Amino acid sequence: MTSLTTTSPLGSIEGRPTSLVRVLNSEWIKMRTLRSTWITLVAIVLVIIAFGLISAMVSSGRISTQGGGPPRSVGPLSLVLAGANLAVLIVAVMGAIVGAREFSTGMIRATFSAVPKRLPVLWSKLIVFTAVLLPIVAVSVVAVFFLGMRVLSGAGAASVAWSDDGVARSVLGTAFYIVGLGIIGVAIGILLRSTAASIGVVIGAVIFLPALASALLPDSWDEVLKYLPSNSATAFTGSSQTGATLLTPGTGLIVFTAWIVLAIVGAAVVLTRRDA
Amino acid sequence: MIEVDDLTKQYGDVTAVDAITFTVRPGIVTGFLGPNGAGKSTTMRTILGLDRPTSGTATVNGRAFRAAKAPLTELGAMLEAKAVDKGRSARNHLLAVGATIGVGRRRVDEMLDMVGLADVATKNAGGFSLGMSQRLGIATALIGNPGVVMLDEPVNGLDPDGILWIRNLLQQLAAEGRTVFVSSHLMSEMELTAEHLIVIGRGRILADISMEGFIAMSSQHRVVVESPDAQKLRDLLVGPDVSITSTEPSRLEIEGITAPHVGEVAAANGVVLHQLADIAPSLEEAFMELTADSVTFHGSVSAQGSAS
Repeated sequence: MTSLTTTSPLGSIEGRPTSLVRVLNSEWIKMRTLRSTWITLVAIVLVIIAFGLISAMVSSGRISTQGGGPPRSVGPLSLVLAGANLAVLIVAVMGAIVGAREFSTGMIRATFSAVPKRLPVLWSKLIVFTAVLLPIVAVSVVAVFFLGMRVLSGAGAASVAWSDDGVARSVLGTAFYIVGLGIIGVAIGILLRSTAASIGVVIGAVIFLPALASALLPDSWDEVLKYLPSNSATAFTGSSQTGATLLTPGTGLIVFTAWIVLAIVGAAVVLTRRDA
Repeated sequence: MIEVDDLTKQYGDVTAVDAITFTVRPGIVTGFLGPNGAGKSTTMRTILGLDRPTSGTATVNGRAFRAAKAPLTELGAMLEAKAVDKGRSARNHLLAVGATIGVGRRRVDEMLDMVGLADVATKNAGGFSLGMSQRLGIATALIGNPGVVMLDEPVNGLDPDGILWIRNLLQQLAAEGRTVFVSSHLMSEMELTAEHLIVIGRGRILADISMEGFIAMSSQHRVVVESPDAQKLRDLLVGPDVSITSTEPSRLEIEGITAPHVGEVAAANGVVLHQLADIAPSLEEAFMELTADSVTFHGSVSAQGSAS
């Protein structure tokens, strides 16, 4: 078919080989051409910064307990990162939608017709999602840390410094946790292929179930529960160690990363085997 | 070139496609014809690699489509017009798809012009009518200038202008030496577009034949005669293999004898004829005849199969 005439209604272009870079570009176009992407990203930044600042302002001068979220020690760090707990939900939902949306709309058939090998689509979705979310979330979290600490110390309340033991790890760990759960969301979206079901599973099973289980089950279960995704993450997002119910920060990081890898491997296996 | 060899696809207990073998050759429009649920879409999905065959193979240009280096340049397919994200504009949809083979805005605008969507290029695809979605699906299929074109029910939802446009386009693409494989359950449309036919019914190939061959294969040739003396002619022609029906007193429809024979009998007996015509069956009639047979045939086969 190389000798087609130039008067063809299809013109005379010759496409180039499909590579990971080209699929990445395709997925980046898909992500940036949906208005919901931008709305969600703005919401994430606003939630992390605004809620952190409000929390710092309201609480300056006294240490109050903030309800919700996984158990953690309440200190200045938890105050300014209050918005991050809400951002976790938004990012996880965004991930689930990124993973499931094409299956819901039928677009996946156009996508797989262009990339029948399929796996480059998965890698590209994950890379684009991470490349967009990680800088935005990391910058927001670091920004709210410095702004929030200024509010607290300005009001004469207790504050911590970036150089204090474990603070930088907790702040950056929070960014990693948020984006990591988003990646797990993408994988679950691909596994379940339905946006509604994926959102339910991500929020319910990954975020709320561990907290619920540790509240309801006897303490003897803590040895197991600390390996669940959100609990393993609390080990490196918390500002200090809260005892035997959590892993050490290093182990927590490894366990949480293992959950991400497991989710991705599951999505990869299912994506290549299942009829689309 | 598309080659399907001994392809079977089962969904659970249901056999959608049952050991079919056929080749779609370049240079002509090949019609893929069958009633709803016959296995047309399943076959096309398997060729495209969306579904894995239960057994057998389907290849595009001699290898599995999955192995293509630049897939969109080899095979352009539209299986469902609505396979787009409703929240994205037509242009952005094409940009995203085209990016996989490194083509950009110029090519995308060229395709939007070709399918007549240039005016609505920035509108969300979710607001498109079925006809507009169909045109976007065709642009998506053809963006890579593919040597093989495969479209499932492309005339669905198109207005008469659109139907004429797609018919001419497909014939032109075939004339350029491309392989063009088009499914339809509209036999009248196939008759005008396709040169070769593959007929499928209940997951089995019923015919793989040229259009003329397909129509000739039908036994339903009949002769229509108009004569003021129709009753006399009827008596003269009547015989064991001849069936004659009459809707008006002066008109006979005859099966089982040729038009020249009717003319000779009339002349020999001094019967005046006002009209004498040989009516070839339409594709629709030939198709109905073929698939009606296949239903009976298939039923008896599966009865034997379950007994053994």
